[in-house]
Amino acid sequence: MINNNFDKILLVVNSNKKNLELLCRFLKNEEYNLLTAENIHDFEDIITNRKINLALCDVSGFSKEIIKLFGSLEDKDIPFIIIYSPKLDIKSKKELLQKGSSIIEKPLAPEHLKELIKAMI
Amino acid sequence: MKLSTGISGLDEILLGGLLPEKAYLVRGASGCGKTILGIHFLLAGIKNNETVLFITLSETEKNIRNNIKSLNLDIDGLNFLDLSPESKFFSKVETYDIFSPADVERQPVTTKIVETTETLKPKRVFIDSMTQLRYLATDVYNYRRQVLSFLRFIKENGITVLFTSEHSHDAPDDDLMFICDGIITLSFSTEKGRSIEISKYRGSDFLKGKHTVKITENGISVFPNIIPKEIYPEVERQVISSGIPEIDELLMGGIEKNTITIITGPSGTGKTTLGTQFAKETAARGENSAIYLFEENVNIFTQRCELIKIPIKEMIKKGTLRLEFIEPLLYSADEFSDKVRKDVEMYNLNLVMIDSIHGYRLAMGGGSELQQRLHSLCKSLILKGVTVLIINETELITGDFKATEHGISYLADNIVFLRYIEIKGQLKKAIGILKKRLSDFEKTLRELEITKDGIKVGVPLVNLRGILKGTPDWDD
Repeated sequence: MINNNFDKILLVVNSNKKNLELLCRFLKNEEYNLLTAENIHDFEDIITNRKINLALCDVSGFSKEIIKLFGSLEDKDIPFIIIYSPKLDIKSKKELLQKGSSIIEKPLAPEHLKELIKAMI
Repeated sequence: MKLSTGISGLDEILLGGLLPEKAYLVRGASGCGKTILGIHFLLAGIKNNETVLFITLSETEKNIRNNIKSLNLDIDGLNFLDLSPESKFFSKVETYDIFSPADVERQPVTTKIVETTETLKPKRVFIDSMTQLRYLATDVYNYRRQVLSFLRFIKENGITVLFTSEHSHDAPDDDLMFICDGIITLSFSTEKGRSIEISKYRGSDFLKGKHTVKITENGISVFPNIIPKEIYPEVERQVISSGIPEIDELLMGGIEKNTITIITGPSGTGKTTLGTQFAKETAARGENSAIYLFEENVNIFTQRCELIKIPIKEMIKKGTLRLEFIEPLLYSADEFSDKVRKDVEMYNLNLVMIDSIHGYRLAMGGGSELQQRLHSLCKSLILKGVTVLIINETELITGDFKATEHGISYLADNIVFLRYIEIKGQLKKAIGILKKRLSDFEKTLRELEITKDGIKVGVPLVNLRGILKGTPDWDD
């Protein structure tokens, strides 16, 4: 089967270096082109200046400021997946759900993630 | 052909060792000796020129090597596959939750095991511990599947596997117990000490029950609790004289060979001396005896015997007597039994004397299994053609008449009792026979004296009354 993922650019946002490394390793195996952001500033910078096909954002470790950037993604019609910790409180979870994008709980099931990304781009 | 575990006592329990190309679970809490047992198993393989592999999933190879340094076990030839977490795992940046550990760690672990196994082609593998793989599985079903396929892979490669598990109430290992071919459980309690038990062994019988384990600088030693066979050999009745005609008259000739005799009585009545008299006569016939002293120092005992013309030193010199002090706090019942059985083989012993039940009981940690352990030891000695003397001290000097206070009278073929009696205001000692399975015996008591010329026994004390009341007295 021909893999056309190489021309797709994914933005991976994660404040945890190990999580970022594992997620990138997984996505690289799927032959995606990757951009990474470990903080709000880099995240904002990339979505302002670069063309991306999909963003994967792990909200753990970020302040609510990140929700504003999800608005920016919506404005630019960039699909995104919000990743959250099972420890997240219900109120915050509801807030994320209102963003209308895909929202998945950690730990991620690799096969499910693979299919979800494919479907979204 | 079974494989040696490298621990002779364990091989004995397993009736020769482990069946090859099977997987055995070694259970036990932390500190019970699972890792040392595994190392013995691997070292036994090296001794047979086999390639062996130690897969460690929790402790590092360096730690294991350091811990083993204190033991006289040379582990230089062991191949290690160290899959323990690296130290950097604990730093903040190394923690993760994006994927489950099962998805992140399992693949590298299984890949490394498969690669190493295919490269080394080991005959024996020890995995310490399989519990770690449990944390890499997404659920119980997947864990069971993974372990099953892993063990199948190992066995298909002609490997015999020992794997450990740490079980607790919160994390039971019942699934592993179903999967494996055999279960070896190590346990430790402050009261009963260390023990080992086999609870499953597909394709082979084994010695049931708990057996004593000792961990010393030489590693693990196992002392089997041997249950004697039910069939006893038919032997011709042979009587052993005590060497004292009056005692022989009481016993209608003496005690029979291959029987168990309990010599019982209160402190200071001459029980040990009487038992040693039988050892002296055994030596006079050119046969060998062993006396195991639990209470008395060997030097004092030797001096005491020499003073009453029992030539202990000469007997030891000629090799007809082995005299050994057994520190009950250092020996367990199984360990002592194992020692006695080995001594019987090594020194061709015909008579064994255990002095006394009190000390033997202490060796068992005062446990309630005295009857079973003593029964097992005595019967296994009888099977080897040995005559057994057991010294028992009764607590009461006067009062209710009791043969023993441990419920072991049933075990004895002969019971010789010693008592204090009062004759005309004087405290004297008396000897009598309470039980003799193979012949009749004299029903009266005789006066017994221990003099510088040895044991002296008088005529039957026909005027003695009140023996069973526990207050024997002289009736003119």
